[in-house]
Amino acid sequence: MLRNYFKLTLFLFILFLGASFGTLAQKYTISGFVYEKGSRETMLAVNVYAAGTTIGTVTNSYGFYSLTLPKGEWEIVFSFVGYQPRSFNINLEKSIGLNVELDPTIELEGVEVYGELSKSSSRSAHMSVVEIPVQQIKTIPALLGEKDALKVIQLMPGVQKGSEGTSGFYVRGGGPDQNLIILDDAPVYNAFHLFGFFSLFNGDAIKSMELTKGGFPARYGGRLSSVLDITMKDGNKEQFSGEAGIGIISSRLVLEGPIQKEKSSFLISARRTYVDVLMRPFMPKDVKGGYFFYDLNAKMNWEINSKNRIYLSGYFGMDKFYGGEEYYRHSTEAGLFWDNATSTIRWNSVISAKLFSNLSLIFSNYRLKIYAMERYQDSNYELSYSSGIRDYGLKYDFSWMPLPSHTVRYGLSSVWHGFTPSAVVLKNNYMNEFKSEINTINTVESGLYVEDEIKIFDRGIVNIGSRLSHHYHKKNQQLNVEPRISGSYFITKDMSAKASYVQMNQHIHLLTNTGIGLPTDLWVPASDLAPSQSSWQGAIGLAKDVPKYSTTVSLEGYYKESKNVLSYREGASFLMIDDPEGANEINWEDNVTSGLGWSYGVELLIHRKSGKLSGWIGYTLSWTQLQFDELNQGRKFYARYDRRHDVSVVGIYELNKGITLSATWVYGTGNALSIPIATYPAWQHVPGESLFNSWYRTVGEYGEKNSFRMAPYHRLDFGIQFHKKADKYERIWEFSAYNVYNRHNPFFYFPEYYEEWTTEGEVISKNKLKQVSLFPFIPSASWSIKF
Amino acid sequence: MFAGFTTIFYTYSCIEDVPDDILPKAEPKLVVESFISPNDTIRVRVCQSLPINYNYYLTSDDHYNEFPPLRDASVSIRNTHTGNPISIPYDSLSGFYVLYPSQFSVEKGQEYELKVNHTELGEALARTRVPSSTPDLLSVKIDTAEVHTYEGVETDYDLVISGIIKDTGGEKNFYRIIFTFYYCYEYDYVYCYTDMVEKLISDTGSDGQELPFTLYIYGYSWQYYKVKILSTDINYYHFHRTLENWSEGNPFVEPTPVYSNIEGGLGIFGSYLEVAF
Repeated sequence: MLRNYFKLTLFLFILFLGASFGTLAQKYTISGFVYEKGSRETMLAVNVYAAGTTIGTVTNSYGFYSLTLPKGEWEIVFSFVGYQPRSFNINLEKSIGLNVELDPTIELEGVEVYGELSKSSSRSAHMSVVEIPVQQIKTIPALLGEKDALKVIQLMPGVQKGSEGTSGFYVRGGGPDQNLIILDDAPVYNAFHLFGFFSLFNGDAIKSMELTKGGFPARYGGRLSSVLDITMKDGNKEQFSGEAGIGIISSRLVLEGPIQKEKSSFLISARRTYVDVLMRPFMPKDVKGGYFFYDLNAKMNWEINSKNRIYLSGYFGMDKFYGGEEYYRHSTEAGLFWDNATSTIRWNSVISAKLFSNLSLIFSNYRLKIYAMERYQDSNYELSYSSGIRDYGLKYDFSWMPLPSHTVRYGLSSVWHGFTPSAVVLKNNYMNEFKSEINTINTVESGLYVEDEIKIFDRGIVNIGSRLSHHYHKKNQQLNVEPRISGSYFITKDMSAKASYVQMNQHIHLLTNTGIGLPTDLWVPASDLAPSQSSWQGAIGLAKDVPKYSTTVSLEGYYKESKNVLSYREGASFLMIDDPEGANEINWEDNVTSGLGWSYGVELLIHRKSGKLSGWIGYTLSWTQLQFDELNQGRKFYARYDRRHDVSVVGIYELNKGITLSATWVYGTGNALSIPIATYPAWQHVPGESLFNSWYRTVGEYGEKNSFRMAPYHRLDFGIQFHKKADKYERIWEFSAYNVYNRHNPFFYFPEYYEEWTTEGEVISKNKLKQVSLFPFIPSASWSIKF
Repeated sequence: MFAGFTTIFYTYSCIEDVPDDILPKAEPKLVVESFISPNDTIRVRVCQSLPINYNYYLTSDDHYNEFPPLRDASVSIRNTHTGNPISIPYDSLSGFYVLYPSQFSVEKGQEYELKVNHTELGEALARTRVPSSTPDLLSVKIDTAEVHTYEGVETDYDLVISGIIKDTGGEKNFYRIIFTFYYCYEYDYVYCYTDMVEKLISDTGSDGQELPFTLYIYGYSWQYYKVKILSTDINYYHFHRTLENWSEGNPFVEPTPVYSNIEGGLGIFGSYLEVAF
C-alpha cells in the first residue's frame, strides 16, 4: 500500500515536472520583495503577474516572489486590495531582482479602488481557507470593546464558538484540541485569557491571519481540524509610530520603528487589564486579591543584505488570580496563574532567484500553577500544583519556483515536546516536604513534506503533496504517510470548481471536559492507551470572484471521518481543581476513552474585504456525530457543538471620512447537551452510622447523551467609530453595544426543586429547569490614538 | 475557581424558567440503595426519582421531604445460588426496608439479588457479589500531626491516618477508607454534628502489591472520631467514585452521571467487608 502510494506520487511528479521542463529554454526570472510604502513592511499574498496573460504568482509569507518568463518585453503588475497597483515595463534578457513598494490607497482622499482581489479565490489551488483582514478585526464590535481575533474567526462559516462570550472555536466538527494555532511558526497551546472569554490576539501586532479548515497543504501537519496561521507585523522600517488605547477593562500600547532605517526595525505591543488596580483602594487593608492578564508581543527584524534577513519574535502573556487575607490567628494566600511564552528566530535566505528558504528555531511554553499557603498560629501549610507543556522545535522550509507553472515547497520540521501533566508539592510542619511529581514525558514529533502547486495550462491548478509524519514516544515509533491534494478547475476567468482530499494525524491530545479553553485543560502525548488521532477529509466546492466589488463567493461541501478522538469516561475527571492533592492519584490514561467522529456539511461565504461597505455573510449547515464504545452505551450521539444552522452577517460601512459603522448578527442552532431529565438522591455510605441521611446528595438522571437542544442562539452587536485625523496623529472614539436587543441566550441549565401548594391544599413536589443567561445588553466605549 | 464563577453568574446573570415545550419528557423511576455486609443489618432505601416538570403529590407525612420513602413497595433479597427470595419489610421508624442478620445471612464471596416491585413504578433488580476475603493490613497508624496553640493554649490539632494494605493478587479489589468525626452537645436533646473524609483505592495497575494510603484532617477540634477500612465490590467503588466526581451543575464541565447498577431503576446495590485493625 505504502509502496504503491510512493510510486503514484513519484509518477505524478515526473509527469508534471517533465511536461514543464520541456519548455525551459530561454526563460529568465524576476524576483524580489514587495513592501508597503511608508512602513516598509513586507507584504504577503500580493498578486504579481504579466499583464495580458494568465501568468502570475503571489508573494509568500515573507513578501518574496519569483516569476519566470520567456525572454522578451513584459509589463509586470503588482496589485493588492486597498493599495495602488503598480506596473513595470521590463525587457527581460536576463534574470533580474526587483523590489517594489505599494502605496496604501487608504491615504488618498476620495479615491476608492476596486482592484484585483488580494489572492484570487477562484484561481487558487487551495480551498477551505479563510483570510481575515486585520483591519476588519479592529472595526467589528466586540464584547466590552476588547477586540478579539479569535471571536472574528468564529464568525466564519465552518467555525463554531463554544459557550457564549468565549473565544474557543470548533472547526468542521473537530474539538478545540484539533486546532493548530501558530504565531510566527510557534504553536500556542492556550490562546485564552480569563477562562476563555478573551483570546491572546487583539489585532494590534498582527499582520495576517489565515484559517485553513480543510484541503491542508503538505506543509501543515499535527492537527486534524484546522490551522490558524498568525503572522506578526515586522515593525515600521521608515519611521517611528505607535498606537495607544484605553478601554473598559484594559489599556494597550503599540510602538514600532526603525533601528537602522530601511534595514532593521522593532515592534512592541502590550496590553494589560486593570480591574485589580482600580479595586485595590476599595479593599480592606487585611484583604488582598484581584485578577489581571497581560500580553506582550515583541519583534525585531534585520535585513542583513538583499538576500538574507533575520527575524526575532516573541509573545509573553499571563493570567493571574490571587487573593489572601489575614485575620484572627490565620493568614492565607492562594492563587492561580497560567502563562504562555513563545519565541521564534527565523532566517530567510534567497538562495537563488528561484529558491527561497526559511529556517526557524522555535520555543513554546505553557504553564499552569495553582498555589495555596496557610499559616495558622504557628504552623505552615503550602501546596502547589503545576502542569504544562514545553516545545523546542526546528523547521526548515524551501520554496522553489522553477517555472510560473510550478511552485515546489519542501521541508522538514522536528519538535521536542516536554509534557508535565501534573506535579504536586505539599509542605507542612509534620511532613516537612512531600513531593509527588510525574517526570516530564518527552516525545519527538517530526514531519517531512513536499508539495507542488502546478498550473495546468489555463484550465486549472492543483496542489499535490505528501507529508511523512513521525512520532517517537517511550521508544515506540509511529510513521504515517499523509497524502494531500487540492485543486481548482477554472470554469470561467473568475469562477472555478474545487476539490480536495487530505489525511491527517495528531499525536497530542488535550484533556478537557469543557472545551472552552480553561487553563486546567491538559496537553498529553498520544500513547498505547490513547493512540494518535487520525482523520481524512474530502471537500468539493465552487469559488467565484467578483473583482469589481472586491468580493468572493464560495460554496463548499465537506465530509470528514476521525478515529481515536478522545473523551473522558463517564464519571471521570483527571484534575479535581478543588483537590489538587488527589490529581496525581489518577492516571489520565485510565480516565479517557477513544472513539470515532463523523462530520459533514455545506458552507457558504460571501465576503467583501474592502470598499465603502465591506463584511461578509456566512452560512453553515452541518452535522457532527461521535461514537465511543464506553459512552452512551456505544450508541452514536451528537457532539455538544453540533450545529445544524449557523449564520453570521458582518457589515462595516464607512459613512464618511470620520465615521465608520459596523454591525454583526449571528444565529446558531442550540448546543446539544446532556441535562438532568430527573433528580434523585444518592446516599454516601457510612457503615454502622445511624444518621444515614446525613450524606445524601441530589444527583441527576441523564437520558441519551446530548439529546437536549439548547434554545437557538442569536445576537446583534453594533459599533460606531469616530475618526479624527490631524497632521501627526489619528484619534478614534469607539462606542459599541453587545447584544443590542438583549436576547437571553442560554449559557447553561440547572434543575431547581420547590414545593407548591394547590388551592385544594395539596402539596406538589416539583423540579423546574432553569436557564441562566450571562450577557445582556452591554454598552462599552474605548478611545485610541495612532501617531 | 468554580465558586468564583458561580458568584459572578448569580450576580450578573439572568435566571428564568425554561419553557415547557422544549423540556425533555421523563417518567419517575424507582430509586433503590443498599449496601450489604456479613453480620450487618440489611437496610434498603426505596423512593422515586423526580422528573423535570413532574407533579409529585406529597402526603402530609412527607411535606418538606424532596424524596420521601416509598412505603408500599415489595422488596426481597436472595442468594443467587442457594436461596429463595426473602421479603424485606418496611420499617416506618427509620424509613428503610430492614432485615436483621438473624433473619437473613450475608456470606463472603456470595452473590445476592435485590428485587423491588412497585405497582406504579414497576420492577427494579440488581446484583452484588460480596468480596470473598479481606486483605492484610500491614500497618495502620493514627497520629496527631501537629498541635496548634494560641498564646500557649492548645486549640486544635492536625490528624494523619496512614497505612498499607497488602492487596490480594489475581483479582480486582477495591477499598474505601472512611474517617468520620463527631461533635455533640446537649440542649434538651443531644445534638451531634458529623463530618467525614474518605479515600477510594483501586488495585488497578498494582495488583497484589502494597497499597499505601494517607488521609489528613487539618485543624481537628471534634470530640471523637471513627476510622473504617472497607474492602468493597466494584459497584460500591464505582458508585462512590462517581459520586465524589459529581459536578453539581458546574456549567463548564460535561456532566458525569453517578454510577447505577439498578436495572429498571436508579441507585446502587453494593457490598463490602470491614477490615479489622
